Amino acid sequence: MFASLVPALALPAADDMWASLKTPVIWKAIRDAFYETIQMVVVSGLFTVVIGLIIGILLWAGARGGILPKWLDGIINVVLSWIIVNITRSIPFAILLVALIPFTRWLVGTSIGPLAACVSLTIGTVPFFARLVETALRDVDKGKLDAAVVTGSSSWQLVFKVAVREALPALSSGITTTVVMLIGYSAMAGLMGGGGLGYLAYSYGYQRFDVGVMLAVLVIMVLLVQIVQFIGDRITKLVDHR
Amino acid sequence: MITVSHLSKEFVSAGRNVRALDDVSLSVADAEIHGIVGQSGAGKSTLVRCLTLLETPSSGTVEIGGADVASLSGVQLRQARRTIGLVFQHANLFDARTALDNVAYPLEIAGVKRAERRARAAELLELVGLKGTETAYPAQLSGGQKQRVGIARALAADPKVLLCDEPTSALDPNSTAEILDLIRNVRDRLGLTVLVITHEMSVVKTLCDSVSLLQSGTIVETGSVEKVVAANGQLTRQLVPLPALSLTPLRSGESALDILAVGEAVDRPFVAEASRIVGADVPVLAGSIESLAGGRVSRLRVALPAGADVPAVMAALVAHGAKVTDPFLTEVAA
Ligand SMILES: Nc1ncnc2c1ncn2[C@@H]1O[C@H](COP(=O)(O)OP(=O)(O)OP(=O)(O)O)[C@@H](O)[C@H]1O
Ligand SMILES: [Mg+2]
Repeated sequence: MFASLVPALALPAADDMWASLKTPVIWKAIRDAFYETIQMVVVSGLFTVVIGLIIGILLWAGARGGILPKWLDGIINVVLSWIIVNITRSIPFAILLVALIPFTRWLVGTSIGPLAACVSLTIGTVPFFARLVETALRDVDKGKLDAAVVTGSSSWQLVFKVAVREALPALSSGITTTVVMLIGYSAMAGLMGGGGLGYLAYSYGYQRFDVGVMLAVLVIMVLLVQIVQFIGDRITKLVDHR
Repeated sequence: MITVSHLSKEFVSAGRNVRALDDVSLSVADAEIHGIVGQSGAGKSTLVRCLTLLETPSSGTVEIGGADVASLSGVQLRQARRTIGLVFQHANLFDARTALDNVAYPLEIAGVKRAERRARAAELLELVGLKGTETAYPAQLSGGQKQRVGIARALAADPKVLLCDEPTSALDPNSTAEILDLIRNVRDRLGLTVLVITHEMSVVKTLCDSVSLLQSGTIVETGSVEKVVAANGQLTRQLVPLPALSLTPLRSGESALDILAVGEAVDRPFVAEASRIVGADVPVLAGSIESLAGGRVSRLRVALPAGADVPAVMAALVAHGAKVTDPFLTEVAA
C-alpha cells in the first residue's frame, strides 16, 4: 500500500521536461498509482451503488407513500431526506475528507491508504447518488405504477419488478456519472493520504515541478474517465428500450 | 356484476375540498357493457380509480363479483384486484418489457411458472390479434397495438370485470373501431362485465348496452341505451345530435319543435301531421336518424309559423308516439 510515495531517486536536471518519464521506476510508480485509483473507485463505487440504491429507493417510497408503513414515511422524510442527504450533500468534499479522519480511523484502523480513502469517498458520494436514484424512480410514469398496482403487485414487486426496472436507463447513466465523479474525488482523497494517481500528479507536478509526470497522469485520468463514460453509455443504451 | 352504492370521494388538496364523486350508485349486470360519459372533470377517472382502489373512497361501497372491495386491505386487496382488469387511455405498458412479458406480468406476480405464463400470454396476444409481436418492445408498437397489449395484460389474470378508462381517446378512428370491436369480442367470448369510460358518444353508440351520464360527480341519467334515448334527456341530445351547422335560424314569430321518435314510431308522418293541424306546410329545420341499440331513433326540428296552435300540434304528435319538446326551452333548462 501507499506505493505511490515518491520514489527516492535523484532526478535529472529540469531542462528535459520528459526526463523522468524515461526511467522505468516512474512507470512502475504510475502503474501502482493507477491500481490504487482503480481500487478506490471500484470499492467505493460498489458501496456507493448498493447503499445509494437502498437510500434512494427509501426516499422515493417515503415520498410516494402507500409502499412502506405510514410511520416510516415520516421518519424517512425527516431523517434520510433532510439530515443525511441534504446536509451531507452540502458539505464540500475536501472538508468532509478532513472531518471524517477520526471516523475512518475508528472504522478501518487507519486513515492512510486507498482502502481508508474509500470510507470518505463512499460517504461523500452516497447522498449524491441516492438523490439520482430517487429522481430516476420519480420519473417513472405514474400510469405504469398504477398498472402494476391494479394487477395486484405487492410493494416489493412494485419497487423491483416495475419501478427499478423501468428506471434502469436513468439508473445506469446515474451510476456512470457517479463513477466519473468518484474518479475525480479519488484524486482529492489521494492528497489526504489515499495515494493513487491524484497523489502522484500532486507530488510530482506541484511539489517537484515535474510537468512530464503530471501530464502523463492527466492523460491517464482523462482516458480513464472517457472509458468509463463510453462503457456507461453503452450499457445505458442496452437497457433502454424506449 | 358491479354494484356501487352511495360512493363519494372527496379530495383535500392545499386546503381546498374537491368533491369528485357525490353519492354515486350504479349497477352493471353480468356480461353487460356499461358506458360512463361526462365532461372533463366530471369524475369519470375518479370513479374508475375508486373501483380499483387506486383511490380510497371517502364513503360508500363497491362490490365486484359479490365482494365489497372498499373494505379490503393488504393481501386480500391484492387478490381482489386480480379479479379486475384495467385498461388505460395511454396503455401504460412497461417499456422495459416485451409485449409478451407485459402480458405475462400479472401472472408473474401471482407466482405462475415461467413456461405456463408465457404460453398463456402468447395465447392472449393471439386473442387480441397480435400474434408475432411477442418480442417487440412497446416503443416498437403503434398506439392501437399498444392498446391491444394493454387489453391482453388486463385479461391475463382472468378477471371477471374489465374497466376501461378512455381506451380509445388517444387513437385514430380506424384503431378506435378495432379496439371497440375487440372489447365487444372479448366480452362475448369471456362473458366479462365491462365498464367503459368515455367522452365520445360514438363509443356509446357502437359498444354499450347501457350508459350513465356523470355530471359534477353525480349520475344524472342512467339505464339501457334504448331507455336513456327514449327518455329524451341530455344523453338523447348528445347521442342523436342535430347537425348544428345546418340549423336554419327561426324567423320572427316562428316557434321550433323537436320531435323525437324511437323504434317503429320513426316511420310515422310527423311533419305531415303537424302541417295538417297548422294548415300550412311545416318546414324541417334539421333532422337526423340514427341506428342505436338495435333500433332506429329519429330527431327532427321543425318550425311552426307565427300564430300556430303549438299545444295542439304537440298533443297530436305525442298521440302518434313522439316525444316533443321546445328546444329553446329545454336548452335553457339544461
Ligand atoms: N388526486 C387528486 N387530488 C385532487 N383533486 C383531484 C384529484 N384527482 C382528481 N381530482 C379532481 O376531481 C375532479 C374529477 O376528476 P377526474 O379526473 O375524475 O375527471 P374526469 O371525468 O376523468 O375528466 P377527464 O375527462 O378530463 O379525464 C376534478 O375536479 C379533479 O380536479
Ligand atoms: Mg379522466
